[in-house]
Amino acid sequence: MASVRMRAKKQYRKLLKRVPEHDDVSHLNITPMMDMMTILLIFFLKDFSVSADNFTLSEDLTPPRSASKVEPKRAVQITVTRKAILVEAGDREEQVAAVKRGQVDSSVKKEGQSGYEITPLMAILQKHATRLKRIEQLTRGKQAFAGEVVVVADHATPFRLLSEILYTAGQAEFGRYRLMVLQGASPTAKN
Amino acid sequence: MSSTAERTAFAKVRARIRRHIAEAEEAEHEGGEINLVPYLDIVVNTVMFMLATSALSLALANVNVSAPRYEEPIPGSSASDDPSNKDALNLTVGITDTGFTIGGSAAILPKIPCRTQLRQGRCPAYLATKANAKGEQVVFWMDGYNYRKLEEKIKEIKLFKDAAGNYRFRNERQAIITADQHIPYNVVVRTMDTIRGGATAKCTGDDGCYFDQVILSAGVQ
Repeated sequence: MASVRMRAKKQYRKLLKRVPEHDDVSHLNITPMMDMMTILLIFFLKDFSVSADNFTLSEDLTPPRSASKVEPKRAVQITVTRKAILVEAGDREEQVAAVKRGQVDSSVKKEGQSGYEITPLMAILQKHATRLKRIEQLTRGKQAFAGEVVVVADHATPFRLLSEILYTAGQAEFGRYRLMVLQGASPTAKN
Repeated sequence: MSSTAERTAFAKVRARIRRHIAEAEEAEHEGGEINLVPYLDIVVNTVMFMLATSALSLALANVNVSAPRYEEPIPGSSASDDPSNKDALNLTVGITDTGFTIGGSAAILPKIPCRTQLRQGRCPAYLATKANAKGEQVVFWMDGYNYRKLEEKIKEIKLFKDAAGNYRFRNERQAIITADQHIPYNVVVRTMDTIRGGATAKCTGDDGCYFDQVILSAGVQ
């Protein structure tokens, strides 16, 4: 009887070896982590899509610092780097005028060197104004034309160039300006 | 007897083996789900990218300004006839080469000179470089305008009391900024910050908020 039990146990052990072993790793439950990651991804994607900033800091474009805490808002964006003036056109930015030594060439200004209106900028902003007014009409005033522009300018931009841009925007019915700045007081702001 | 016992024992062993195989198959079946690891890799990478890029958007803000409004004059009337305009401050801060000028409907204050002056009293306002402790060249703003003095004057105007002891300009919130044509944008924004102070709902002056509605005017020619 004992030998029978012994033989049975021996055969049992022999057969047991054929049974595939449990893979512990396959039992790691990653579903909660997946849930968390997916929620984070959706949050970031949404945040990214509505983000008002559409520029990259570079040597040519560093906005000044300000103590302002007003949340950035989306509007037609005019970017003024040390080399060019750009205006958003769809998903990209289109260069409307070149900037040399802090000024645009007199040939792109309506009244020459002393003029304020930058003709190509005026043309593109008028197109934006027409588009936004059409949207206002189609939505029956729900998306009203606010006449706002966001100006992202380099901190070394001369006031004259800024005035020309704001004047041109004003002529194209954009009379409210949002100057994009980096949050936080300037290192020497306490002077 | 022995063969019966042997059969029974082997039957039990076979039953246990079948049970083990069934368990192993079940475990294998569970492990045969869709492999989520590559998807998880993509999601983790995308989240990391989003975290890295969204750090910039947190540091941005807007400064709201507006352009001066132009209205056609009404025949037979002048601005001084309007009682609301009569006592208006019309605070105008000019940024010139040599400092700040403050003007209003009542008076023009003496110029606020720069802290450090270049030739002919001109204020330095440019990007400069200097070596840090490690010997690396660091870019910084060389700015000689006296913002502290400007803030003192602005506060003084905001909290000005007339002969009867009443605050005269406490409810004024508007200021016009003009600048010389080559004044850098950085100086304009810092001047705006100084004039606005800390934004509050009532903006009464003693709460640290001075003139929070800034109008940008064309440059001084």
